[in-house]
Amino acid sequence: MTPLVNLHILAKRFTQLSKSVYFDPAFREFSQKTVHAIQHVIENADYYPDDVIRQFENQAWRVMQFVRGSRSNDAPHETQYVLRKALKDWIKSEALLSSAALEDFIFFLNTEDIWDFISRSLNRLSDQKYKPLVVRIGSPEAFKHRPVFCIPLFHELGHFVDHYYEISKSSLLLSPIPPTPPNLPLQTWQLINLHHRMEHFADLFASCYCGEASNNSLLAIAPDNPDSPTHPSTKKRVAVVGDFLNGRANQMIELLQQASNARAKQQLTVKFALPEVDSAFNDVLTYNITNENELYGIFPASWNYLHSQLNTPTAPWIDNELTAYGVEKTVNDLVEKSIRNFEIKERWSGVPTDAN
Amino acid sequence: MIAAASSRSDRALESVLLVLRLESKNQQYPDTLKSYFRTVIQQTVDLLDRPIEVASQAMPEAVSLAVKISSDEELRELIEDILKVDNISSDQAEKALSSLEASFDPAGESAHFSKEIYATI
Repeated sequence: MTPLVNLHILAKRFTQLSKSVYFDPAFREFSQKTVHAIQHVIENADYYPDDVIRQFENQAWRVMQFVRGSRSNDAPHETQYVLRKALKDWIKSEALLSSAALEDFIFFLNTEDIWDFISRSLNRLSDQKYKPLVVRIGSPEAFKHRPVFCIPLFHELGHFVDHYYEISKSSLLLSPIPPTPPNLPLQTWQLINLHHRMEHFADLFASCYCGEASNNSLLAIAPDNPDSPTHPSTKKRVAVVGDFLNGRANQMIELLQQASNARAKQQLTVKFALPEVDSAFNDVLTYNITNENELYGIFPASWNYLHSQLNTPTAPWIDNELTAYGVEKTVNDLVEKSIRNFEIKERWSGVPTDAN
Repeated sequence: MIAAASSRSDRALESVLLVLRLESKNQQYPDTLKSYFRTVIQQTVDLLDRPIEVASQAMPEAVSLAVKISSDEELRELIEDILKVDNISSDQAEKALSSLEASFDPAGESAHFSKEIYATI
């Protein structure tokens, strides 16, 4: 289990994983280059300090989960397609998306910057310009075909963008925190304020794409959570998003907008347009999404449709026999297919013709 | 996480800690890593002096380090001293390393604070 022995094992493992039939070509290239870097470290073990080798090994272990997840057929494909578009609004480089299907009610997005580490630490390796953005999206496997229930992933994407630019952290430098309460260390107080600002940023980010559905999904998961060191109370979070969507002045929004402008060169703005899905969904037909604003807007629109039908069923296809499970499955299915149709049309229009 | 569930790890300063660890052991390491470290701490000090002017260009690691240092006067002086010299002493590196590694993590802490405290955020 020494680092060098482990690196041999890792090289073998990356090679095995990359031979999968379903492997994404971009991840195949990523794996091959990572194997090359691992072999480089093995061959230059006398040159690099032990601590550098150990850190490289740690990163290689961590990034292996990303490579493994890229082969998964358990991802919520349609939601990931929309998330990829939202990510592109903020980060221009092409992302390698990997997924984790979880047997738990958890959502997350994380990244590994092994190639940033390689470029600054392995100076004898020639391939220094390769710096892909690798993102892993975790969501409950049970929600694979339930895009409406994957709305929390927009909140997680907000955390990802925040972390990428360090927007909330910058806000601490640009907009000082309130005076430290008595008997509380400044570091503790600063970290609590940071975590609260991070949650507000992620909420606001999600509301740019999903509007009120961001608050509604939070209220479904944590209806009355109080303030904690890591999260503001649900009541505060919902109020901040409400102020944002209704154009009301709010100090938290202003300081995060200032930091977002400084770091990401853009502010949080509403990107969705609410499509009128009722008519199509009442006829059990997919909605014809016409643009990206509606692509985002189908999440809040279908959240509203689903919950109004669960509370007061009016759609002709709902009879007394149909359970809540049947209703949510049908609506999620319609949303999934509506997004898929948009994606297919987009791909189709991007195919070059041979007319000339 | 959308609601409190598990800890949130912050690896932004991993390479900065690595350099301090190497310096504390007086080890030789690649110049690229040295120059990276110098850039990060220079930007960190600039950020603390002129945040509005510098925030848009600083590396994410410099932002992370600046936030940590902004609440620790002793660590700030230490980093400023490191920036002034060409060769970091192992003593300086060790002090900075232990200070950075001893950060409070509220995600792992079972801390409870009053409603009045949260009301001020």
